[in-house]
Amino acid sequence: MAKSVLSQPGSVSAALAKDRLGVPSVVYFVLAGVAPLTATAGVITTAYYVTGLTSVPAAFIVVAVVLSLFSVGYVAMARHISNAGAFYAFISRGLGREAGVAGALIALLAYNLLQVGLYGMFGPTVEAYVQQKANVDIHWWIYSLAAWAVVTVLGLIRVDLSGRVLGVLLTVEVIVVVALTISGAAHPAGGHVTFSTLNPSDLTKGGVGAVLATAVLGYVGFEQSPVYAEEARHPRRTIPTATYLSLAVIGVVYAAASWVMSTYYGVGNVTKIAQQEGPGMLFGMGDAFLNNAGQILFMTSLFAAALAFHNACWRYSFALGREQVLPGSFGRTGTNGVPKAASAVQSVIGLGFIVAFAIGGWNPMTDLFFWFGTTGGFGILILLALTSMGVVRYFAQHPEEENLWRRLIAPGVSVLLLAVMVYLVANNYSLLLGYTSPSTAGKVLPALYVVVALIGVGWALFLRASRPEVYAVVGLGPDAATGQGATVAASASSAGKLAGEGA
Amino acid sequence: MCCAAIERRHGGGVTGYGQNERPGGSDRLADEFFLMAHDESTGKPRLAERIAGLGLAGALLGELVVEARIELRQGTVTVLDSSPCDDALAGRVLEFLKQEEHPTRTWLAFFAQSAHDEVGWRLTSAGLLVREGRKRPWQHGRWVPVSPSVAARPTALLCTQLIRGQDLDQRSAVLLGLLRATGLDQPVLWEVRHTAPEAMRRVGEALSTLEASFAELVMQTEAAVGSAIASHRV
Repeated sequence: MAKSVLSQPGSVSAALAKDRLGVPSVVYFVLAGVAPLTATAGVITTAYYVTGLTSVPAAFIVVAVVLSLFSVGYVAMARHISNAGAFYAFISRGLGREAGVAGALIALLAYNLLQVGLYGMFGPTVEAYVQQKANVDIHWWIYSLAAWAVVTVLGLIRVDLSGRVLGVLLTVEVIVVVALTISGAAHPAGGHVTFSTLNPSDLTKGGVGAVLATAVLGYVGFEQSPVYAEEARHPRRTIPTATYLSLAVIGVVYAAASWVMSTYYGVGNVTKIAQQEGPGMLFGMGDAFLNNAGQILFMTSLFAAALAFHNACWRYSFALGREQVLPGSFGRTGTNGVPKAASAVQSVIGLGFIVAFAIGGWNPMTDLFFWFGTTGGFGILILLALTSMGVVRYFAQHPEEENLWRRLIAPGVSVLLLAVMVYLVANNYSLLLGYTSPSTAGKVLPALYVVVALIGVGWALFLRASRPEVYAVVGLGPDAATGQGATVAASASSAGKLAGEGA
Repeated sequence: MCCAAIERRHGGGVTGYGQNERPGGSDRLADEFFLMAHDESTGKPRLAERIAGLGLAGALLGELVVEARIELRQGTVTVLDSSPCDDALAGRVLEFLKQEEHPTRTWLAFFAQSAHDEVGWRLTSAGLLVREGRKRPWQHGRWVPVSPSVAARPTALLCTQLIRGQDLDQRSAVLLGLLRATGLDQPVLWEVRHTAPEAMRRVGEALSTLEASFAELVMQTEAAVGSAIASHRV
């Protein structure tokens, strides 16, 4: 009567591999977080108009190259250390636990800003669309609150939207962006094509920091790939391949779309039109059908991105809660596997800002979306730089684990490039926010990261002195329970050994 | 060899685990976890599938620790005694552990894939559950308890033990640990939390008395669950 499901011995690795994620799945998860349409319609157009520079396509290419270089050391480290909060896990291991806690708080702030900022784009976009189609005028914040409510509910009950729905939406989004790009490329302004915006030498001009920061913002989400390391079919190969593939796909899409915008509207007009039309600038390159499809998908993609960043936020709080670095309740989950407290706190933050902007009457597009978004992007840039330093230092202590290119040359060069970018952005912050002269916001927003970093270091020092058992597991995330990092490499090698024995 | 093992299991070797006194038709750790993880009358799961799988995998390894067949230490499983088991499922688990070497975490992930069905069938053979096919194409089939009162017994016993301040043996303690690691303690210990909240303190006390292998098992399960949640695969 009893039916046996366990088959014959000898099949452990094979059985596990079947259930794990291959390259396409990881690329899908990562791209769903990047939300390419949000970036193409929202980030490229704002980059043109806020900076007033035409070298946006070149910036996307340069940033793709820098991030690929960064990824060499990043994925190498992911082979040795697995933790859902990859950035701060790597920073903890490389630069010490004080830097790790500082990095964790920087990440929490950055992802929250990115998440909240999306509500500032979602509301006005839906408002404009409904007004245009149905001639009904409803305040932006009502739509933002509706999106917030859905994100909150999905966050708490965890209906798994992620898998297929997001996959289908993502596929359609990319097809529409590509179609719009081709359509735009077929109709260059004045009938002739120019390549001047692709010239990286223009990036030496003033304001380059602002363009680079905006370009980085477009790539945010790519850094999530090591999160799936433990679930990857071949951790040593799947994660690197998926990371480079994701970067390549979005890099080509962004560079092509932004270059085509400059050809379609003309290099001389592109920044002016970006200011007038915003995201509509991308959709305007297609016919009526593409235009409409693009607008609808833009809204779904903003929503999906808000959900993805909501998840990134609770994932960090959850990992920190498991370590007891944040209150333990953040690390507790309900029976459905939802860290309710971590999810709820993020939702409360989102609600607070939507309500504040609604009451204050501030501009949701420029102030909430762009200010918060770019500041979040700047936080990610800081984390990339810190993580690169962590990678270099970690491999300096474990040189036997990787070759010279992966452990020193690539991450070393990326430390330099990222540090220069952080400096340029910090230096241009007011310009980045749309001011022509130095402003208070331009000083306050980037300084937030200095504040949380100091709090992080202080908290880590406090833990070291008074709760050494917590200090000892900083950076281990869910593995804090065992006091030792999950051994991705070890399990992969033992699986390899077994496969060898079996053959 | 075989007889000695049986004798040891029912005799002196593992006294203190209180295996023999458990009423209700089933005295195995994974069976109890399974019954606790489902509604006693409808059979509706109380845990997300993946988390339940990890909890059951932990419980299956726990059964072998109870019988002193394996030892868990520093992320690995060592087989101490590979003589045949009375229970067919425990025997198959042991067979795997004997043949291959993997980190505990890998074993948990591996057994988690099939633990739900395996334990479900074991309880079905014991006459405690009936397998009900799916009613609609998008639904899963369910394991429905034959008698709700029998199915509720493990939960009731554990709650009573906690509320009345009875001694908790290692077996109850490891069960509590697995409940806690999977988040199943929230529905299962509901009664304790609401009628005698002060008794919740005893859960922590019981966990601190866990022997090394059990403590390791609970920690590994907790880490595996946390990791599954964080990497979004629940």
